Amino acid sequence: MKAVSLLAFAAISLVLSTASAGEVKAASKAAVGQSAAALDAVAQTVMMSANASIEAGSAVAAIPVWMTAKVMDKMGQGSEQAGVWDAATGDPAQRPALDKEIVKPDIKPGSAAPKKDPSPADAMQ
Amino acid sequence: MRKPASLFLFFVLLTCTLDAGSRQSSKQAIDRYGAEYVQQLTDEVNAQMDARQVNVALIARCGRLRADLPEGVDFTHVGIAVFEAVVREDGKVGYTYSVYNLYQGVDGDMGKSHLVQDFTFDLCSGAVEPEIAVIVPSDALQKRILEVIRSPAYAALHNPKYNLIANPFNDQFDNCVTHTLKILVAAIYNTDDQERIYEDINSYFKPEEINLSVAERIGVNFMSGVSDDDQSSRHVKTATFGSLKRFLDEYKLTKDYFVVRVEPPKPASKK
Repeated sequence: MKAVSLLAFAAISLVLSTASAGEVKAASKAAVGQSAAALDAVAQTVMMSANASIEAGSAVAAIPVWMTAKVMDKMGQGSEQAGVWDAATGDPAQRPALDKEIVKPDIKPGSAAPKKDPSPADAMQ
Repeated sequence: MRKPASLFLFFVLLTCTLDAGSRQSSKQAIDRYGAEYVQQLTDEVNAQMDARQVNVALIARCGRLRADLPEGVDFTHVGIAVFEAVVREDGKVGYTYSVYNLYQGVDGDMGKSHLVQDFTFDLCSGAVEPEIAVIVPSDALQKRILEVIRSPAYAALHNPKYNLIANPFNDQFDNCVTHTLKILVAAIYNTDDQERIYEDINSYFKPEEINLSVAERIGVNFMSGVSDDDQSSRHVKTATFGSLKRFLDEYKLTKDYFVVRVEPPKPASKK
C-alpha cells in the first residue's frame, strides 16, 4: 500500500518537474538578459574545439581559454597554455587580478526579488 | 528540527524529480531572490576566494531549504571552482572562477548526467539557502586537481548513469559528489587507473550512511535518477559534501574552509 502511494506520488512529481523545468530555465535566461543565439554560439565554439566531453553551460557567453585548445594526451599536459597565466604551472607571484566584469551577466533592471502581497489589512482597503 | 536519516526516501521522492539542486537548470535563487541578489552572492564568493588566493576549490550550494533535508546532508550540489583565463564571445580575455560540474538530466532523462562548465553565477543561481560553502584543498592538491580536470581522465572517470544516492565504492552510478570524489583521488594518487581509484576510495573514504526501510528500498527503484541497485546492505552508503570535507580533513588535505553567506533582500510590497 505504501509502495503504491509512493509510486503515485513519484508519477505526479515527474509530471510536475517536466513542466516546471522548462519554465524555470526560460524565465531565468530572460532574467539575466542572455540571448539563446549567444549561448548557442558559445556551445558551438566548444563543440568545434577539442574538448567536447565538457559542455559549456553558462548563462554567460564565455568559456575557459584552455577549452579552445587541442586535446591533451595525458594528465598535466592540459595545463600548458601559451599566453595566459595558469594555476598549475604559473608563478603564484604573477597571479593576475580577478576580473569582476568578464563573465557578468546582463541583468535587466527590475529583476530584483519577487514582490510579495501587501498585508491582509492593506489588501482590503 | 532536521529529519532523521531513515526518512531519506521522502527527501529523495520530494526532491529528485522536482530539483535536487544538481541540475543545470537550477535557478531557484533567481526566482526566489532576484538576479541582482544572485550577482551579489556571486561577487562575494569570488572576492573571498580571490582574497585567499584560491586557485581550485570544491564549491557547494544547497538547492533545497535545509529544513527539508535529512541529517548529514547540508548541501545538494558540489562543483569544482577553478581560477583561470576565460575568453568572452567578443574576444576579451580575463581571469575569473569557472566551475566544473556533473549535472543531472540529459534530454529529459533524469537517469543520466553530463559534464558542464559554467561560472560562479550559475552555481549561485540554484542556491535556495543564501550561502555557498567552499573547501580549499592544499596548494599541491589544487594543482593536481587542475591537471586532472584538463586531462582525458576527467571525462573518463564520469559514469553518465545518474543516481542521487550513488554508492561511492563502485562504479555502477555517479552523481556530482561521487564524480568529485574520484577526481580528488585521481589527483591525490596522480593516476587515471579507475580500478586503483576505487581501491583507494574503499580503503580511505568514509561515506554517509542512510537507513532505509524495506518499503523505502522498493520505492527508490521506481524513480528515475534514484536506485539502490549499487548497494549491498540495508544501510545505503553515499557521498555528500560533508563526507568529502571529512575525507580531506582526515588526511590533512584541507587548506581552508569557509561559508559565504549574503542575506537576501526582503521582498518589496506589491503596488
